Amino acid sequence: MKLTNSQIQELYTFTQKHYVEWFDVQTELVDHLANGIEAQWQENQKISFDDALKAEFKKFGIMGFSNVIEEKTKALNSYYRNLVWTYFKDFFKLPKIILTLLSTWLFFEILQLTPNKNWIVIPAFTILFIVPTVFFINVAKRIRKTEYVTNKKWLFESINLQLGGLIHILSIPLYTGVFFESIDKWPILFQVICSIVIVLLGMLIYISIFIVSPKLRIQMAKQHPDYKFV
Amino acid sequence: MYICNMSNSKLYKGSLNTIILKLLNEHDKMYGYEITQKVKVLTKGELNITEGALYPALHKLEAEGLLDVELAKVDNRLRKYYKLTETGTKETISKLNELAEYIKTMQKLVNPKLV
Repeated sequence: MKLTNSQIQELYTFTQKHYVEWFDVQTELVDHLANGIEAQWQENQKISFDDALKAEFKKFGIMGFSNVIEEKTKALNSYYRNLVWTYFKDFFKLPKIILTLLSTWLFFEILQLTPNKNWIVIPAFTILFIVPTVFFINVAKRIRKTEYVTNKKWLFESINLQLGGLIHILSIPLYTGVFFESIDKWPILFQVICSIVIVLLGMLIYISIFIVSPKLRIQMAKQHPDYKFV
Repeated sequence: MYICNMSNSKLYKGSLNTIILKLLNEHDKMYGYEITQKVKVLTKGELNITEGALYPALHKLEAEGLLDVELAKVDNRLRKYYKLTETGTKETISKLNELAEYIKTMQKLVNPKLV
């Protein structure tokens, strides 16, 4: 005996009621529950759908699906960060290292030539704050639109929104404005450190937003037939 | 809630990833439910991989780049299949060697006459 379409839909609702709101996670759980229920029916056709479902859900333990969601989120975050790290390392190998060194040196030179360093540093950090913010707003809009049009939410989009947890590091520029305004003296070493930090943050933002996030979306679109770019 | 029916489940905890990799090495692709059933059949019900342990392990292996994922419509639902990547195949060999070494060492300790 096989599950009907409406029973499959019931399973989606069931996972949703048990706090699995992500379609990419629900799909796997629904198939698992369906397989389990059908296996029970092979042995005893008299078991009701609800009882069979209860028995299958019990197998996930007292934590239900929460452990699966938690670990899936952790795994996706770490996948995202590993991808960023892989591209980041590329900027310290030939030929890209030339670009890294050149940008750092160029920024340092501009700092040296400018009498008031804040004219350079504060706008630089502002740009480094604005770019992720614009990205964040766009992704949030896309998530809302996707949910409105398809009635589906995707866990990987939520990972994208938080840049795999890197969003916390990228919020550094937010706090720097006040700090730099209070500084009068700019020793050479401080200027060097400042140039390095700005270039590294810029690289991190560029890699996350313009390389890894689009790559993740393409991968998801290939993997999941239901995922469509809105 | 981990992976075993046998008296001491702790002994098997560390082997879950190896079990998954080994099964996927022997089959072109498998889905979650199939893995749990296969283990049950192969061990004649002695080892029971729980759902709460299997999926986190699969997702972790996928994130580490050891598994690839493929979605297919089967009957009236979507099914997520897992298969080994090239790195996953290499890792399977290394994990199996590690396990074999461990078993050999344990044999030496538990039953020195046999070795």
